[in-house]
Amino acid sequence: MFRLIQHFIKETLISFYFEKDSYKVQKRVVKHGNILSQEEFSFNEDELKNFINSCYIENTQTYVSTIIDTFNQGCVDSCTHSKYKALGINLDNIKILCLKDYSIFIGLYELNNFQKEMKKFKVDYIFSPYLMIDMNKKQTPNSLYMFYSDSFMIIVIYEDGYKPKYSNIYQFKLEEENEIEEEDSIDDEIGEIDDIDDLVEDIDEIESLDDTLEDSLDDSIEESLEDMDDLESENIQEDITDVKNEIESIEFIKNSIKDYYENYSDNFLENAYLFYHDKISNKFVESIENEIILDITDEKLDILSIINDLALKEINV
Amino acid sequence: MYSFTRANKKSFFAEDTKLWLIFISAVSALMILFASFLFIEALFYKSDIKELKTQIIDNNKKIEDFTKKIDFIKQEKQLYTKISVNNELLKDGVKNLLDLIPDPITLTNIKIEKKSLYIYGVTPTKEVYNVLLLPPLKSIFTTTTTHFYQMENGWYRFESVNILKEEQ
Repeated sequence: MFRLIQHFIKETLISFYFEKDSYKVQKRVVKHGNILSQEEFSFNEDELKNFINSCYIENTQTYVSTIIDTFNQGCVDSCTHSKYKALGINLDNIKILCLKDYSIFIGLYELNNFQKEMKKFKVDYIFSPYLMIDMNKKQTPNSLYMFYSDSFMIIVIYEDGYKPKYSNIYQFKLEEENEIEEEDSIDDEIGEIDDIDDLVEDIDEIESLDDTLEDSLDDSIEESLEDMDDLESENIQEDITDVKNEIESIEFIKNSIKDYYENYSDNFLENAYLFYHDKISNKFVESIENEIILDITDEKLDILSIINDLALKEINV
Repeated sequence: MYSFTRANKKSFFAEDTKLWLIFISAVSALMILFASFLFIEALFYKSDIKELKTQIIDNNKKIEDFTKKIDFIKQEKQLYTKISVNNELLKDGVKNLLDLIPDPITLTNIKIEKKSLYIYGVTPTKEVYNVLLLPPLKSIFTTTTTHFYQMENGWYRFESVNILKEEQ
């Protein structure tokens, strides 16, 4: 009965995410899976709340979706609890989303907090950013996927082009944070450090990489500083943040690949894809290419459309 | 399933629409109830009409019966009247007949039939009978026949047969 009625009614899908200082919003009106209209907006918080309310008044079949970018999430190449236990992940504290025979998980605490925070927007669906990569993965083997956004960076490695073998997420540090925190990789560190010896070994290796890292960082900063000369004063702060994020990203990518080779697979990566949704500098792409010694195929993702596509799939489940 | 959360429950209708729908539903329900009431009433009326028709048929039958009875009673009444009249006439006739009997003659028996009269009696003489009783009898009846039998004391026992024939 519900399906029959649904066949004749319009659905309004609203996707949004927070970027820099505003919410990027897409409103899509669909009927029986066909897009009737699609618009994009940029709102502040109050405007977004009012917009969502007006959409609800206009159409009760309004679905609001967004992505959650908390660091405590990841992919596992199985849905079984035994696999999670083998990876040392406490099942009591996570929510698992099984996608056929691999899964995405998220910390319950972070999810609950995010849900509370999103209540004001009447959010229906919360998607993992890992799905942005999963929805756009290629069939190529031994592929490294990177998804770069303003607030986080994700890495997923597919060996067989189907199931994720390795994943990691990194949230860029906010400018207000004075103390530099250690990179958190609790979420999807499929191979966590097992004992002190491993830890010491890791530290030694990281130290040995310091020189190289410093050099590359210096180079990037210098290049960025040169670029900054040409920027308008009002954009300087924004660009500094971008550069800082890019530097952190490169470090994160290096560490993740190192972790992958050491703990997950002996197969060399053959392909690299870099997804982004806003803009990305060629220098940043080149820097990554230099670090991973692989050509990168960069691809702009329409995050809002992907979120709405996922929402539509959810509605039709 | 791709989302960590389930969608909130969605209503197909907005609040205003819901109110309208409730109102329309209520009105429709009332109309349906009223229509049902009328329908049931009509059914009752139909059954009443059937009953009444049956009653009418029964009553017509009764009327027919009563009419027949009335006719019968009327006939009975007529018959009764006729009989009464006849009786009256007979009574008068007898009275007249008795008035006809002269004093010297004594009747011993009278037998009256529809068209005939039989008189039995005693007369001192045949002349008394022939002068006093025979003329009135002859004036009434078509045929009058008398037989005399002499008694020991000289008187006569007589037997008079009088027949009245209908005129053709």
